[in-house]
Amino acid sequence: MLTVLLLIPLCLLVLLGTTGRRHYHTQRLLVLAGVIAQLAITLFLYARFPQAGAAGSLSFEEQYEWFRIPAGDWGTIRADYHVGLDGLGLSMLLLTSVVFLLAAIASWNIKEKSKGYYALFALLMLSVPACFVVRDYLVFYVFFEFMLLPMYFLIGLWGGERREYAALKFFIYTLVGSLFILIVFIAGLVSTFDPAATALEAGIIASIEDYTPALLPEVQKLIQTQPEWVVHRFDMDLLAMQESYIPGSVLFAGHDFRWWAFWLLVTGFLIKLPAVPFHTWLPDAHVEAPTPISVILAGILLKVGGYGLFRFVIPMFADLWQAHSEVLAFMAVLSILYGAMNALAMDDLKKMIAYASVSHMGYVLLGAVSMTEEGLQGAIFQMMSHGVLSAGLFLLVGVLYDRTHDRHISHYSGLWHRMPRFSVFAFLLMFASLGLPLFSAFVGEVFTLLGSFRSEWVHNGWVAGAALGIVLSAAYFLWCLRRMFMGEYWLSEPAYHERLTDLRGRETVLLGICVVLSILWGVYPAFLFDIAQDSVNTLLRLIP
Amino acid sequence: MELIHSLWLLLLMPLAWGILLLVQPFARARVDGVVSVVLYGGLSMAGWLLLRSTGQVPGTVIELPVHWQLLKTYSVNSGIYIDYPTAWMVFIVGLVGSCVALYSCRYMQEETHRSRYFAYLSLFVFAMLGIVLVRDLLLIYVGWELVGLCSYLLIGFWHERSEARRAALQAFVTNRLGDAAFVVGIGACLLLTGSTDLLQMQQTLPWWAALCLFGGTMGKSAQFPLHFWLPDAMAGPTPASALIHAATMVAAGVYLLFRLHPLFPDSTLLVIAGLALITILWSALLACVQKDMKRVLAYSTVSQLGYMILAIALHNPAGGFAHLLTHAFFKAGLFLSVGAVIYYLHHWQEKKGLHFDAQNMFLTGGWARRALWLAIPYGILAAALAGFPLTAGALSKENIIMSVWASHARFGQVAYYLGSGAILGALLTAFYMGRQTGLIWLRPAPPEQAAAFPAQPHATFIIPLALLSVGSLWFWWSPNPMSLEAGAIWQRLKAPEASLPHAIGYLTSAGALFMFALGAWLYGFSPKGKTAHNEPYLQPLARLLYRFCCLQDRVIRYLMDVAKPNEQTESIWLQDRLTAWGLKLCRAAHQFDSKGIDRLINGLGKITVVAAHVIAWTDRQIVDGMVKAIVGMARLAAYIGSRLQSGILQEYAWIAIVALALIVLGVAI
Repeated sequence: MLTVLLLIPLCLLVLLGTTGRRHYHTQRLLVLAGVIAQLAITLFLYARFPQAGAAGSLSFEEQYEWFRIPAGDWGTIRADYHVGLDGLGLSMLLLTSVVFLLAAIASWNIKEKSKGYYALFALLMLSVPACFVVRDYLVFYVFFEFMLLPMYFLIGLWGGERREYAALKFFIYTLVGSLFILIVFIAGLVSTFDPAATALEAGIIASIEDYTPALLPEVQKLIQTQPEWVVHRFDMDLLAMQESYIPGSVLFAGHDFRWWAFWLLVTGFLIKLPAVPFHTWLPDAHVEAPTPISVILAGILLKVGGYGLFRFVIPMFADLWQAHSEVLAFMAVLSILYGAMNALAMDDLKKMIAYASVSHMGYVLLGAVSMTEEGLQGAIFQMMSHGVLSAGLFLLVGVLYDRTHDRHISHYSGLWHRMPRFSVFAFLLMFASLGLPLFSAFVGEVFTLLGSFRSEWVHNGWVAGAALGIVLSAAYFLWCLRRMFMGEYWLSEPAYHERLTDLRGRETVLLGICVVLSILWGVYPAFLFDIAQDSVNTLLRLIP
Repeated sequence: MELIHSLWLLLLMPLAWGILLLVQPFARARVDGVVSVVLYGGLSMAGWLLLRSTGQVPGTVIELPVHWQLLKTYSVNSGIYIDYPTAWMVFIVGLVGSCVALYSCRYMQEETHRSRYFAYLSLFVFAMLGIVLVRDLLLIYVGWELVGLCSYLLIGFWHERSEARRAALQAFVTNRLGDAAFVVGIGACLLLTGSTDLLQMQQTLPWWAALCLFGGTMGKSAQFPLHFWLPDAMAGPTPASALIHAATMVAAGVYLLFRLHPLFPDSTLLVIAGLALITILWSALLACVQKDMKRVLAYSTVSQLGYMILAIALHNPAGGFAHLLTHAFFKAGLFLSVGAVIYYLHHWQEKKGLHFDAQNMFLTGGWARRALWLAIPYGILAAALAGFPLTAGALSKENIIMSVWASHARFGQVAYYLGSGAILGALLTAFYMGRQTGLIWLRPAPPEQAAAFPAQPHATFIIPLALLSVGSLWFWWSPNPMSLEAGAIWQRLKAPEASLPHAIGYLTSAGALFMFALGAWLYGFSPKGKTAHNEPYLQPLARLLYRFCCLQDRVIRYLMDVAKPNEQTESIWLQDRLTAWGLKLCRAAHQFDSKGIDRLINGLGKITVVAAHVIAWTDRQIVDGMVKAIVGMARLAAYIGSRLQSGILQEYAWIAIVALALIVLGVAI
């Protein structure tokens, strides 16, 4: 089933290839169909997903050997095509499908170079979900890198005025992060082996099913004496298991390099998240990106950073994660407050929302550092909630930008009188984002704060600092509402008056989806908590 | 018990009604108002019934527990929990709500967005019930934020006015500041007791956790130093102020403290009592020098909330809670009667095409003669607030003052200071109410208004006022007009040790009578006050007060003379300063972000490019140069080698001889 999910964009690419350059209508229908198909499959997977299933087990698993390199004395290197879903993956996949649906509808008016645009869009539809379902970190890395390429072109070709600068900055920034990650992945491959596969290779067992943990000492003795039998695999689970590390290797407990590897990996994913001070690519990329791409960027690409923390950093380096929790919590609080303060100073609406994203993603880091059930659940919830709400906020900016090509808060006043429906959605989305109860952001923030308060690893002072973030977020969102939507109707250019028409049907649907999902999750948070439960349990088991 | 499940309807009907009004506004018929009145009236009946069933036997509780296992280790008790105080709150919210809704039928009649107004009211009632009907702090916090939202929406209802926009924003953000502390407090409860259920927490909290929880109260109940949002919140419609900013929402903070104070250590409670006393005196003093009739009442609300908190902090929850209830009656009524004055003045203004500040007490007068039917309820309600004998206000306030004195047994000497402060506050209260009575009702009307409008009584105004003023008389609360101790509330909720110094209560009452008369005479009958268009007596006090809070000249200039009405407040100055500083900080952060971090990153990029150029140069000149050099040497060798093979015999002979000589030389050495 997961393979079908990944094949849809590939088929889409082929079909897009057969369309003519001017047939943008066919192309957008094709993409919409593809996105809906992916959403349908995701919902099907959700329906079949074992609720609160056995922790650590994967659903919908598929595994095939991809290649195998005999490396002589050094054993064998094997890569697999291995996909499977756990709670975290399913959460992210749900978010991905929803956000891509929003982005596809928001792309409706792209007519310029549409074939290229939709082809790149289809590539994103392949690589983003792939990141969340693959279990082999070589394949993960390939898709992780592969997200950058379409993003680079989508920002660089369809973006705003400074698009080339922004695209290049985005590309180089995240590429550096990826390289850090790559270094650690290589170290991970060198340092781990697959006990079961090694036992099979060495002939200790006849088939892979015969392997039991009791054989582990025998296999470990074997790899000391006969390293040529060792099988290295790019399996994520091996990184998380203590016993699969080869004694004396670079990532084995006690080796100096582990500390460096930890920080390289953390930095790599924090750039993506982003956390202050690795965030400066974000405002530029957002401001220059076209609306649907901003939606994807804020809706999902940032979450890959959080996903990486949960999938790689914490399982691989649980001890160091705890040892550095004060520093990381400081970074989280810094992101929350610093991002919020920057948002307060912005006059460009899109930049304000971009900095608000930095602030809200700080809660994800804080929750992850807390390593308590509330905190981890809150962090995952916050990712989902922010995905939907920031998508909605960027769509709001898009509505305004489409009409006037002017995003300055100070150039508008009293929009309520001219665009009542638009204003209602602005009120709903901004109140939702500032953490009003019954909307999803509230649950994410409150559970993150409660969890980090309960945590032994995070000083309570940091939590108090983070709590100030909810004051600042109220300040910048309400101030924006007050300046743009309330008061007397006034525009900096009289010509805008004609162009500022109220929401069209398509835009209403888009914003409506965001608001409805946010309310749904906010009123019944257990919907998302239940999905993520098994992943959170797995993570909690890592701490002694 | 099937009937008990209909309790959910209690909670959900206002929500449904509010949403319906938002989605489908009623443009013509006055359905919205009438249905709201009936809905809240039903709510107050339900509250009354609940009061009957929980009040008979002490400790009776009606509960519909719903355990919601949100996480594996964390569950929320999201059921309904009703005990005696909760039933009271439901009753009060319903009663004041229906009075206000009825009153609003006329007051908001001409508004184009009247349905939206009623929708906000209904959502507010839902959120307020959400606070009082649940027992889990997290869910209380949900309601807590939602009432904040409704308050924001109602303050900003006339968002075309800049002061309304500003006040709405200020109210929400200030409340948020308190809420941030509240969240930390909830986290502390979870950390220390493992639960956020109010009734499962038994142990005493450490002082910092208690103070954080009190932060929520401070924001919502406008306690010093977060008190300034409430007077500014008067920019909203007056009936909404009566319900939200006088009777119920601001009392939610007191209600929270009422629930939580058993968990607080005594030291924290003393700090809270101290803050409450500062609030009482500070806002009472400020109420004495206000010109705006609504702002007087707003400062008075802040001050009365201080009394409730003072009582609860000194372990007299019964007195504090009783004052909450009686205050809801008389303060809501005062707002409604003053609101009627404002309403008529506005209409008269519109008819005559005049423009003056209708809320300025110095620009009107003589209302007792113009509308006696309005003056009588106002008189009763003002007497209740001032603490006259035979009123409900006297019962509860004097109970508080006496209990503060009596708390000497537990808190020592401090109780006397607090008690004297509380008496001083009560005298000031009587004075500013006398002042308002004199200014609006007793002094002769300005000549141009003299024969202006024989205001005909409107039933929609009279009925709520009559209800609330009758409720402010003593006999509902206690059969003994001089003591709350005979009343049901005291019987149910009293602290174990209770013997009160009644003499102090009587003295305070007498003092209040005198101060009220003084205020009424000074402003209503004295030759100087009778015709004043400006504060005639307290200018020095006003100047002192505003100097004291470092007000700028323009504010003082306003007090001396007339300036724009929205420039008169202490808070706007504060807010301007704070916002200016805050924004400066934010802009600095942005500068740092764009100039600092971003430059650093760009600088790194530039360094990389420069390094790349250096490397490229090195590559061209040195690495490539070496390659070139090697190639050159090879060419040279090839050239030499090729030149050696000339084909001339003599040269070959010479080479052979030289080579032989070299070999011989080498062998010899």
